[in-house]
Amino acid sequence: MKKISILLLFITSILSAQKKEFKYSLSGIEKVVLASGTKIVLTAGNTSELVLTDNKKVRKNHSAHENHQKEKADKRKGLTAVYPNGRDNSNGFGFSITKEDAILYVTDLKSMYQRSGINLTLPKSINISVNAGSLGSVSLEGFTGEVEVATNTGKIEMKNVTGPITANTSVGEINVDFDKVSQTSPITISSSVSEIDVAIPANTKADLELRTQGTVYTNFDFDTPKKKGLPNVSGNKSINSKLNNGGVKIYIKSSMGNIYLRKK
Amino acid sequence: MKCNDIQHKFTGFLDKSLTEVANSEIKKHLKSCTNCNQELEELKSFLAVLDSQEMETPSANLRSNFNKMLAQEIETVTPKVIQLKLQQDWKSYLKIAASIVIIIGAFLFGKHQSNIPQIVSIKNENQEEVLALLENSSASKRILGVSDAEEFTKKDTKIIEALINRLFFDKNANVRLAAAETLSKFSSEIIVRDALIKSLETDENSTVQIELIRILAKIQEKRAIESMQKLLKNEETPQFVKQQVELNLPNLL
Repeated sequence: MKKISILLLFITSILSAQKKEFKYSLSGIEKVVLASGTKIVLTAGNTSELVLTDNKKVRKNHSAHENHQKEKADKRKGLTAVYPNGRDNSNGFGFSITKEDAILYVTDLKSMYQRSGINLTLPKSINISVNAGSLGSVSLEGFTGEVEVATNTGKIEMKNVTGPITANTSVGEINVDFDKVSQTSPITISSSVSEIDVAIPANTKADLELRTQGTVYTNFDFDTPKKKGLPNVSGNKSINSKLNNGGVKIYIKSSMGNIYLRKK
Repeated sequence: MKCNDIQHKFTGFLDKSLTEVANSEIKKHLKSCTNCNQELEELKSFLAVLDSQEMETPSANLRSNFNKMLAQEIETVTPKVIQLKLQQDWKSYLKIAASIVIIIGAFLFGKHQSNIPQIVSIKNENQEEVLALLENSSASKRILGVSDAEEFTKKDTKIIEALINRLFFDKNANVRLAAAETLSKFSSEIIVRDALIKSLETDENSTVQIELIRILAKIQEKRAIESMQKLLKNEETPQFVKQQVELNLPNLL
């Protein structure tokens, strides 16, 4: 562990000369729980480590900026940053990283005002749980493990995922694009007011349940049971249908927004 | 030889079944003893009377009469005998049947007895399984547990308590949402209704709030009116949640 951290320090010290980055080995970790209030972008990587980078646009190094940075660095000399929510153990990156059994908790210590987005690279098959606070948004791509995402007003965007997915937002839009749908456990996507847009492969086996007070749009052929003399599905009644003879449960609920279910 | 002994042997003497020696001895004695001679004559005359007496034979009618009576008796008695025999057979069949029933019954009872703990254990296993799922670290698995819990009856208080626990304390809004929906199926239980009202007051996720408002309106829980009005007054409540309250409140009033 010591060797790794020394190595990491070495690597980061080299890299931080060009671009701020933090790495953490994820050997033995099955799930990463991330909490941050900013725009979070997760990318699937092939190595078994976590790579954190700031989303700050690298400004052109003009002299004034450099001087300003230098001035700041001088002021901080000999002092360490302390945060109310924990100790920074990410080499000045402002994150608290703690390990509990096979779960790694990555908590952003800085407030959302100090961040303009973070980039994280994680192993492809790791399980992820992300909470973007009240204003943060989440965008991720290419993960094959279980993904849990919660935002309040921010958008949730997932691409090339397989599930199981658990996503919830109050106001944010949700877009999920499945590569294929894992049959292991249920997929639940819920929102209070926003639209939910989900694309799944045409041959997906699933038990669908769609609930909204808005409208459901789809290009799948639904075999919804037709009951004579009863009103059409509306309001809070749900649309239940089996795709390709049924399979894993896919539950999509928007209290008021429309639901779009696309065939890929 | 005494007269007494000689007289004892007179019957044999007359039958001529005595030995030669005894015969001559008796003859010799008779020549000398008048008393014994007289005795012999008496015996002779007595036996002669017996011989002269004719044997009485039963009349031929007797046999036929007897046969007749027997036939009559058989005729009157026979049906009874048959009936008795039949009854006896029926009883023995009944006994056999009863013993078979008892044996099979005992077998089935034994089987049932051995089945009861099996059924109970299967149910317990299921319950344990669902309870374990509800505590799983994966949100999707917890949701699976919540939807599996639907299959239990309202008697499974452990399951209901676990669901209420999820509704109050689960970090994931979708799990709380699923718990609320499943709990609405147990809305006849007072603890469930209490939990739903309490949860409406405490849950801060708008999706969950909207679902709770809808459920409480549907199960006609009038006690929820107060907490709904509180939501309306609260400035932090999002507009769309207030809208939902306004939509559902008239159903309760």
